[in-house]
Amino acid sequence: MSNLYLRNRWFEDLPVGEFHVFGSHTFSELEMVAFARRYAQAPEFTDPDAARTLRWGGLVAAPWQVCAMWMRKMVDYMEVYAQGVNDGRRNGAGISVQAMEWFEPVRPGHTITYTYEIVDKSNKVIRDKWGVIRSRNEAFNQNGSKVLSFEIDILAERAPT
Amino acid sequence: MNSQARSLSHQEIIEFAQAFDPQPYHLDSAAGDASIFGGLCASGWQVAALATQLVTEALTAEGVCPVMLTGVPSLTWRKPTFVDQSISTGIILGDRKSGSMVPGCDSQTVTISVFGPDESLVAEITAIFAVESGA
Repeated sequence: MSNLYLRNRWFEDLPVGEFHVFGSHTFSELEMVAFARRYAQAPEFTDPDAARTLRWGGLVAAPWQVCAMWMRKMVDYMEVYAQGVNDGRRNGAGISVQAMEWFEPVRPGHTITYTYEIVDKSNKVIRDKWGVIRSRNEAFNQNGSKVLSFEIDILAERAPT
Repeated sequence: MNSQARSLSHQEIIEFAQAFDPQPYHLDSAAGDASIFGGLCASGWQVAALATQLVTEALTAEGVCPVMLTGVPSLTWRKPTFVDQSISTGIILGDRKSGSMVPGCDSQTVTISVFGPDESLVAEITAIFAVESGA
């Protein structure tokens, strides 16, 4: 697969307004239950049979699983298109999240598409070499309904001076 | 109030990273040592998910009955979480507003301090939980 960019990019190379569709994931009942047994131990998330008689009328994904899958789609996307993850330049280390909100439950078989837009670049310099990129991230289901949105500040290495 | 403490094993950290956050410092000890974190560490999302489970247990024991996490107005990661490191949470109940994305629920704001060993601050989370109306 060809790369979208000719070279690895520094903090300075990343423009506000850059937009990516990271990709989609179809959530399965098995992976939803496996996640919830460790991190969201309530029958709405862990027990497909019990969940039928509960609030949502069926199993739903734990909120953090819908968000964690955003991270997976970002890592996969950047490895292919921006060559950044393995060389540590686009470090990907998140430092903080703002305004995260879940809007609708995700059910088995739902296909969630994740988008990313750079909305701000801070003047802060962290440990002499990292800049901070703020992105707005959204996730939509197969009907186009938004299920999750948030902003995140992620470190990106500044160009050597 | 405080939650119970729990830790993440080497295997749990690797399995989570393989599924959700396959970056070298979450998968490989040598890469972790060379990284900004200084060691193999858990994905920040795994720490957030574990903290949410611990808070849910503690609130349930107090009769607050959280149904589901519906929002995180802010989350800051302060320190990495390493293998087998103890994680616990300090919990302060904030405002409660009527209505929620979960039908029949209200929105309870909860301020969460995630602690590592020796009460060191690993993360700070402001969370909104759906709670049963009237509960």
